[in-house]
Amino acid sequence: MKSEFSVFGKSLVRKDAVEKAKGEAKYIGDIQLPRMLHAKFLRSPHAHAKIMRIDTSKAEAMPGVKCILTCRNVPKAHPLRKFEYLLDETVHFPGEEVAAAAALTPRIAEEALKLIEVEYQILPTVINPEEAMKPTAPLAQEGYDSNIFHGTDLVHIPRLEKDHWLRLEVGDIDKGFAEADEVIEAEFGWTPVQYNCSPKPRTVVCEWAGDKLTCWADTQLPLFVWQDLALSLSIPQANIRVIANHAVGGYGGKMPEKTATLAAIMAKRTGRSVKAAFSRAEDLIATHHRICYKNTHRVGVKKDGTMTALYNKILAHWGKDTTVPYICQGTGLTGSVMLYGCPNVKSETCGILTNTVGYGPMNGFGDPEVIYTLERLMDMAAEKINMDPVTFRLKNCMRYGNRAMEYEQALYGPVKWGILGSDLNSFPELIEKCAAKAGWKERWRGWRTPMATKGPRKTGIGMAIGMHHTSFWPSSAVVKMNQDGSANVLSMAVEMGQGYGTIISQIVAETLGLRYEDVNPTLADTGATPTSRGNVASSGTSSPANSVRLAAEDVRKQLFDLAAPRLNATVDALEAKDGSIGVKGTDRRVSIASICFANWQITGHANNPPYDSIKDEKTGQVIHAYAAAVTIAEVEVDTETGMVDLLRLTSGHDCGRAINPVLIENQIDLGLVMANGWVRTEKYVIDEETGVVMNPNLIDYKLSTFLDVPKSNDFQRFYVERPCAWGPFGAKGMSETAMTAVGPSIANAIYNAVGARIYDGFLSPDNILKAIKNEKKR
Amino acid sequence: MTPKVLTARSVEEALSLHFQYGKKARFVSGATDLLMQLKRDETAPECLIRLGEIRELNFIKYDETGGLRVGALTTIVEVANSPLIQRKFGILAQAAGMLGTPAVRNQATLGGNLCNAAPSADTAPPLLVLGAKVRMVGKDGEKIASLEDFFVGPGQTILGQDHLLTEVQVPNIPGHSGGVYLKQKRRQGADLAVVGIAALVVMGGEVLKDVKIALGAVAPTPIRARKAEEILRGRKLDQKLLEKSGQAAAGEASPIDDIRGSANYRRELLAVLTTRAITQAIQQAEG
Amino acid sequence: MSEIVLRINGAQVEVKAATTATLAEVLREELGLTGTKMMCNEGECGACTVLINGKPMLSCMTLAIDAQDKDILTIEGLADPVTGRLHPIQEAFVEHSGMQCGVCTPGMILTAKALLDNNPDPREEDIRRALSGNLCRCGNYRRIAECVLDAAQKMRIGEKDEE
Repeated sequence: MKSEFSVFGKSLVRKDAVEKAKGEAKYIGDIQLPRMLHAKFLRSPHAHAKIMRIDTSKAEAMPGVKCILTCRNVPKAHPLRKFEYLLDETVHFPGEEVAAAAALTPRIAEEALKLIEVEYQILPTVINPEEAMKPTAPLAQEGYDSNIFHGTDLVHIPRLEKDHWLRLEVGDIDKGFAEADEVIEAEFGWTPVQYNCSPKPRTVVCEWAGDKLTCWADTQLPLFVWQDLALSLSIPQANIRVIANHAVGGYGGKMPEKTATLAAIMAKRTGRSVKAAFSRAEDLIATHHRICYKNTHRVGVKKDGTMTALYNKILAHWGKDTTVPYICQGTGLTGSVMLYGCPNVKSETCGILTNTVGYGPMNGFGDPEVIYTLERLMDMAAEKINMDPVTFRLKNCMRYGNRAMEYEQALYGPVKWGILGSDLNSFPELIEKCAAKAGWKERWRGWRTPMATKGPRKTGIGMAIGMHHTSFWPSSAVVKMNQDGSANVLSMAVEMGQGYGTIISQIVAETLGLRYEDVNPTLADTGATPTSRGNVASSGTSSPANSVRLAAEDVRKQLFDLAAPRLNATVDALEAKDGSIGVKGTDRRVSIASICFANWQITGHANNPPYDSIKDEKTGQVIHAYAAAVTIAEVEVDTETGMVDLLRLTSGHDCGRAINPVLIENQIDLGLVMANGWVRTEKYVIDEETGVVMNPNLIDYKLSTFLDVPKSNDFQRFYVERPCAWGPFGAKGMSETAMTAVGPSIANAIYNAVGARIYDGFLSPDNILKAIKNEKKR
Repeated sequence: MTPKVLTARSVEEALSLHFQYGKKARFVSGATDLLMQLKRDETAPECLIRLGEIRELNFIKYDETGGLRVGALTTIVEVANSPLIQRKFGILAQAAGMLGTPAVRNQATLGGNLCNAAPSADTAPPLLVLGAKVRMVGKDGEKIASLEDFFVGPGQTILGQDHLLTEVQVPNIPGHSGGVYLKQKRRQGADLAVVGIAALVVMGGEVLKDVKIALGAVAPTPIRARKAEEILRGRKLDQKLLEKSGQAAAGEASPIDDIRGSANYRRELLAVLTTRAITQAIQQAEG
Repeated sequence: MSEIVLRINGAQVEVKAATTATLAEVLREELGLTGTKMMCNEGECGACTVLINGKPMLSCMTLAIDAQDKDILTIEGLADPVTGRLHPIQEAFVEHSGMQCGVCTPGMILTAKALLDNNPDPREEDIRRALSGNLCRCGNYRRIAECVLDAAQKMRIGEKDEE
């Protein structure tokens, strides 16, 4: 398959590799403008409080301080994605912004904050989501009538039912459970919070020139920041230029915070550029974190492994945010219904508000949090009927032709079931290949039988499957030909490390027969690049990159039209190859450079076709965009200390077509390492009474290091290529899918090692020790 | 207000500078702990006195009678990589190699680690079982104290405002001995000790002629576990005794619930890891 | 404020900075050498690593004053100043895509350089331990180890050529 391409499918050097290796890549935090001011934020120590008095006079008088913002002097505009105002009179979580100060240096700004006097009236507070569900619980949002989300002025979820639950159902689960030979049910503990921990904390720089604003924002969603700014400042979007390069590791969670608007206001009032950069502690306390689910699952299976019914209940902790987390609910519902091809499934979910930081999308948003518990239950089911867990997944996993829908339909409706495309025939292939590579047959010794026991140390093997959507959205791109035949690709999507700029250059080079070196991306600039959402939901390859392919094809058509008369040929006899347009099967050619030199206006443009226009050739049904994953983990557990060593990971992924194999492997690695941290090392601790974060630093919020992941020989990842019906050359996004199967595979491996099921979310040594002890008692 | 920074080039100069500024001054060596406190606004000295130029405090010396002497400004990586310390006082080199990350070890100093007096300080339990002493120099002369007396509480030592820790002294260890430092962490990568255990044994045939056990991160200071030692001292190796000793160590500690672990979990770890540390120390002595 | 004289990438540089300014602050804010990255500012992530007298040190935890009279190497000083040729470790990172977002990259490259300068033939385990203080949130550990091994091999071959 690879030999038909000359550029596509090759592990070419990244477009940004040299500048990153030399330290020359300029990130938003590196921007230094003349006379630039530095902004810092004062934050509420209380989880729920009203500001009765706020006095900034001493701070304003401090030398070097140029501007102070509070709820008293900031417009009460609704930023698009937020329920509350820019600086609210009432705070809803510990660490919420209460004031902003812009000064000559960061140190002066910090000192100024200390001089701001605030008097709070503490309001009734609720921290624990299960407490919040009780009818007697205090209201997290004092102007709202419930702690269970049921829509707001800003956010309307049509499919929310009268009891405030969101549901998705297929078939008849009562009938399904009645048919089952065994019914297995389990309730799991809350999945862990995960802090995004982007390598650079949130940073924006704002600068005005007259009535035009430039905002450099380290975000993966320039579209949203752009809308936020326009609405809040009441100026046309055309006057605002949001530039998001180089952005840094969004991991799904770098949602636009209100700092961009506050920085813009301070820049306007002072007539100077303003940089607002969160410290690591602020980033830990006051940005969106991974949503948490408390799940109950019930599954019915026949002795032969056929799944007859599946019920999923998902309690979702939203924290204080009422506008963002609902996306995760749509994902969780569709994921829980679709992962297996069971004909009778019912899933229901509700969103719970508390006075803690807002939770929401992060790498997988809604799927890992469901699959983490669902895949542990599936292991329990397989054990109940004494079936090999790999065989069980092979029998029931989703595949081509299974009913599928787009996750946003679960929220807005109408639910229009389509199918999974033939690319999902990859799933059984992945499972078998993964098992073979991991040596599953030789290493799996049966339920509750560890691979080996050496004194207190036991080793176990476990597996899980996962999936995630890869979104196909409206997107637009331009390919601009330069007079020397080189090309620039303009796209609003963001290079934040995943390699987006590289793959679109490969796509254009392949389509136009140009050298990879002669194509360069211009990205994420709302004043210069046509619009996409940004990079989120693993949509990069599927959506904006697809519009790039279409734009390149538009250029090719224009080149063909100009070349045809020169070559005395018809357009369909032409090909683009080796920097020329030539007549197929002859040496008649004309260089692209010579065409462009005289025709410097050649510009290709394209918008993506609508989502539901992608149809299955065989059945005519609408195809929905998903990707699959399988992970097999081996662990060693010290049964006396609970310490777990992750020995081996083998993980298989489905990418449609690999545009750049090394970049795909890098993205798989990201998911594997991040998931390992999520369930094993990254403990996020909140005080149960006050909601205050107890470990706002990297000493006590522990990421995975080199030593926490298996060494190279034991860290195998592979992918399978089955082209999808959309996406450039059949490629699709798969990054978040890499996150979904790891957590449960590790939990299942621990079970195999020690014979004790862990229902907790966080696989800490003491939780494991507790589970082992409880199992001994039974 | 950012503090004044002064540089001392000798012990005398350091002391006289400190005398000038008194309580408003702080000594700084590797700066890893102090910078952290400055960044978090946990300290606001008017003056910092840099000790990094005092070459005379960076040394590793050994003689057959006196034992080991390590200057307070010797970096942790030098302690970890010293062939002499690895050979003759292996437990100290081992613990130094487990402190922080490689870059931190390049910068942190032995004196700094002890003077910062975190209950979890990695070099403390090994030095306690080695019977280490510290030399403190003030305007009125020098004092030698046992390391055990040196620690007074979390972050507190007997050093006082007007003395400088100049060196750590470690007596020779008898033959047929083995020493091991076990550090329980929250991940395989770097971490502060959730629980730290140092065990030193001297064997006489099958008998544990001497046993020293020290615990870190489970009390207001690093401590010796004397009851645990007593159970084993002079006895023949016996699995039941080992377990009893582990339980005793768990009882002698007073761990708290904190962000790194619960008191209960720490006690469980102590029981298990004390037994393991002794076992491994014995294997070392015999091997 | 103090006047500090630093030796950075072979050149003497005079700079005025707050007395307790860290080396990272001075490099980035006063000297515009933003190749040294700040990821946590608390000595926990290794992104701010520079080489001081050949040893990896955390510039965010080093007082600029303490860095005087020492040879400081930042990422900007690694490529050949005359030819512009990248250091073999940089070349390996470029060739094998050893970075994703790139924020940990300068710290990783410099720490790897210190390792290879002392141990030209490391095993993977040596690399993992030497770089264990450098966090990569993008999870690129396996790839980074591959790059360093490749660079080590090329550097050994290169040395053989010189002999």
